[in-house]
Amino acid sequence: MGTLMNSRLLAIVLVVVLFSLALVGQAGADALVPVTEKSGTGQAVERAGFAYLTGVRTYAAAVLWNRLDGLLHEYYDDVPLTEQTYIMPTLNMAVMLDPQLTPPYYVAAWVLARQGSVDEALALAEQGVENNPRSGILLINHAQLLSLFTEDDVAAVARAEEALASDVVWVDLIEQHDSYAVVLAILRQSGKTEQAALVGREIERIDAEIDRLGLTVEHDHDH
Amino acid sequence: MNRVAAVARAVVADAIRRRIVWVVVLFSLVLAAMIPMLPSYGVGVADAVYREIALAMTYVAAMVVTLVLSVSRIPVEVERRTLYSVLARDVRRWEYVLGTWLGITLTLAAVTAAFGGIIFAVGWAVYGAPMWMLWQGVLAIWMEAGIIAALCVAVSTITLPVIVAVAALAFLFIAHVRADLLGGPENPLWYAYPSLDAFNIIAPVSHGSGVSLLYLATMVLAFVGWVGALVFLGALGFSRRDL
Repeated sequence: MGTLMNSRLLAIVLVVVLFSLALVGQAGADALVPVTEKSGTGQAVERAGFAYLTGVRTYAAAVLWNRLDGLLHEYYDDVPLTEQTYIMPTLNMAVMLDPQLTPPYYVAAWVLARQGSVDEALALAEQGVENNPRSGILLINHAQLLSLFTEDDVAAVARAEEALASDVVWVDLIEQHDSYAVVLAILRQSGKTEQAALVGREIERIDAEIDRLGLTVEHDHDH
Repeated sequence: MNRVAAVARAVVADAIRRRIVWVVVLFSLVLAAMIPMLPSYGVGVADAVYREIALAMTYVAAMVVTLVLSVSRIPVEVERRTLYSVLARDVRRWEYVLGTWLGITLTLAAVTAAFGGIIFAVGWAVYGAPMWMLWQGVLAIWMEAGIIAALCVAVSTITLPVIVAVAALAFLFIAHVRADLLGGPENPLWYAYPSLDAFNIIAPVSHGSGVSLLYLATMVLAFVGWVGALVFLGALGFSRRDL
């Protein structure tokens, strides 16, 4: 009887000790965990529950966009983007799944604006900038929508100027070149000729760099 | 220890025979190798996104393989009565439970190492630099899979495979929602909550500079504690079962 009690007691003690070991390890990890920030965009990842699933979400968003990109450029190449409303649910889903995937923001915002839903388009473009503050293409997208679809030139110029900052990220020089041309147009439209001249010179420099590197335009939407 | 090793070897041999493990591994490896073909993310974090997706794929594949290997191992052996021939060879029940977990965990080590090798090689080839930190993530995933295997083995000593699978998924969920449920360390239950967040290092590995050696040591501590407790409880449950 006594031996049985002793072995039971020993089992309980052993389980408690082992679970305590796990909890100590857990507490140690809590104290030592490094805090990171995804892509410097302001979206803190940290140790959110099921962080591994964010990778799966990112993957799913990319797959959705991959599918659309193929449809846009192979099957519906001659159809104006604004008539391709079938893509909207997929674009929304892609943005929802991965706020750092940039193309759906500017494609969806442009479709919405051209269809008359300007407020929705601006909200989406602004959301894209909030989630990706260093993305040049999204800054330009928002600036262009403000310039073309509203009368708020001040906001358009401010947004366009943000795209000129040195820490803004561009996919390549061609994207930067085309986007700076949009900035130039916005500045000229607002009467800021001196700043426009500076941007013009920067465009010439990028142009020369593109020629030097032998880059060619491979991809463009109809906006 | 020879008897434990013999049981473990049998589990590994059985895992090699089971095609489903190979299908999951092969399918996931193809997906992992295709990650760099995904569209550009345009914000200068393509390699970080690659690491994040690669580790997520590894995690999901590891968990699927863990469940496939461990949910039904013991119940099927009992049902088919093949267990009796094992126990008849002087293998004690606790040795059988420990050997089963060891075999599953060794198989998982091979699976996650294969994944690690592929994602490391693809990452190096595509982005031009070795991503050594990926191995930290792979190690953490293997440890978490080992704990889930221990839970499955422990629960499967006393119940049916379906219940084991539900228990494993429930445990995974519970162990990863501590922050959502309790908020933060200011909550008095924070440090007593059974959490696997110590193994959740996908963010520092993908977007930061990884974790320190001391952090890895705390992971090992948590791993030993969890596995030790679960395998011990499994052995205890199995020893009392009327076979």
